[in-house]
Amino acid sequence: MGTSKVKSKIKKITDMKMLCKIIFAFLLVMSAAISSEPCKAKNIYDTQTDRIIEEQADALGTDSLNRALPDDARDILKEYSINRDTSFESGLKAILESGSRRAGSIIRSGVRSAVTLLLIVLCCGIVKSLFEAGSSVVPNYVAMVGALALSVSVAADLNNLIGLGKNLLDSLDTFSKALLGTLAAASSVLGQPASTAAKYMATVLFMDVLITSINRVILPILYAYIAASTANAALGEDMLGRLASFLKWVCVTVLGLILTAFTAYLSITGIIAGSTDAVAVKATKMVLSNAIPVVGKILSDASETVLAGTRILRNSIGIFGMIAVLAICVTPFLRLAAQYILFKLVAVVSSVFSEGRLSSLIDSLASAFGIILGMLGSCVIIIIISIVSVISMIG
Amino acid sequence: MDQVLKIVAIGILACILGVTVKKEYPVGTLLVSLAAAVVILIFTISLLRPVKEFIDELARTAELSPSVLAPLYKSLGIAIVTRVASEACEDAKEKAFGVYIEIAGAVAALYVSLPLLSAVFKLVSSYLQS
Repeated sequence: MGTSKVKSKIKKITDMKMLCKIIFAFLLVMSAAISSEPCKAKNIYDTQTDRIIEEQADALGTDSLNRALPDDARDILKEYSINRDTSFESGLKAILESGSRRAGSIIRSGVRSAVTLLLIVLCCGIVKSLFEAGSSVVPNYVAMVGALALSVSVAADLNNLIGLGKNLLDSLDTFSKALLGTLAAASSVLGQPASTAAKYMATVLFMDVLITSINRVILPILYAYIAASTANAALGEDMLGRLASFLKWVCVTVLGLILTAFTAYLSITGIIAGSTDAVAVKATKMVLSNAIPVVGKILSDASETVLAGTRILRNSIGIFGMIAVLAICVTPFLRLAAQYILFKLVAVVSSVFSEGRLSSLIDSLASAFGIILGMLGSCVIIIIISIVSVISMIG
Repeated sequence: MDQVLKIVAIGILACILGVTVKKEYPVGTLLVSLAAAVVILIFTISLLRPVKEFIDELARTAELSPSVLAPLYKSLGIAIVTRVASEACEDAKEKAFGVYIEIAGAVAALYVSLPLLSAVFKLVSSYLQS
């Protein structure tokens, strides 16, 4: 009796062990299945999305964006292209590397101009100190000749940089039209034709307005500002100082007004057209799910996959566009910024040992470089705001 | 330092000589003053030569055209010479001559700066045409 009890207990324990083993094996298989299923699904999903992205990229003609880039920018973005791995960081890294490579020669050229200015100011400063040693006043014509010499020596730099600015504007205009056209097409697929069209139109319109204003209003006023500043420094007595200040104010205000109008227009049209698109997308999805009896839901889900691919592509185009705009601008911006900073520095240094008129002329010339920088910056801001507003739309 | 000592010595000597002859021969004071001014100016120019060489060297490094610096040098020279002459005239109680010399100096400076003026006008007209 006792033996049979023991035997039955041993059997029970053995059965329990078996059960535990079976449960453990089952759990193991289940966990493996659970962990492998999403991977497979994810891989299939990724492959599908990649294929969709490639097909959509071909259909949207993203290659044309590379062709619209100027040679210099294409050289900077050699290995950067539009795909699902397009990252802002890698593009920015390429731009920073290129910028740091060119910074040396740009700064050298800026320093050369700054030394030129310092030389002229130094000559006038020597005479000033000679006259002050004799307790007499420096003749007016010394500062006049100094101002004329300054203007002549800066003229080449000024012409070069204004020409560079004009070329950059043309490049930005060409590229922004190609980029925003492609972005608009991608966003239209995502169901935002009205707001995308509004944003595309606003950007094209304001870019045209800005470029026309720059060529017909701001640049002539900038030239007049430089001429007035030179004449003011040559004549003395601050005769044309107020005129120069007014001309500078006009340049800055026109740029500011265009940017403000663009931002306001974009916000208003974005809100109105965005709500129209949202209603249209909601209605389309509802019709697709309910109107087609059996496959309606499947079609709706399939369209979601296509839209996800388009969303990735649109974001990649946007990121590529931003990086490309920065690549187009990096060299001219560096040159202008270096010139601006060095001229401001020379103005401060020269105010210590020379006539105030000469240092204020150098300061005005630095401001002229600042206005050119502002012009280009406004164009870049318009394009970047457009890109950001298009890619931040929820599709 | 030697040059400065020479200049100081010449200045003091001219001053003593001028004061000595002032009572007997007032015109002599002016002549002494002018002679001393010329000699001191020559010494000063020789002192300024290394400064000019340094500026020329900088101009070559900065690739500044000599055509920009030349009018500047000339007008600076004119300013110094005319001021010395005008001060001498004032010492001789002939302020009017001093003013004439200053005006002539201003006109001469304008004349030597004509290349710069025409360059600026060309620049402005090219701006207006573009």
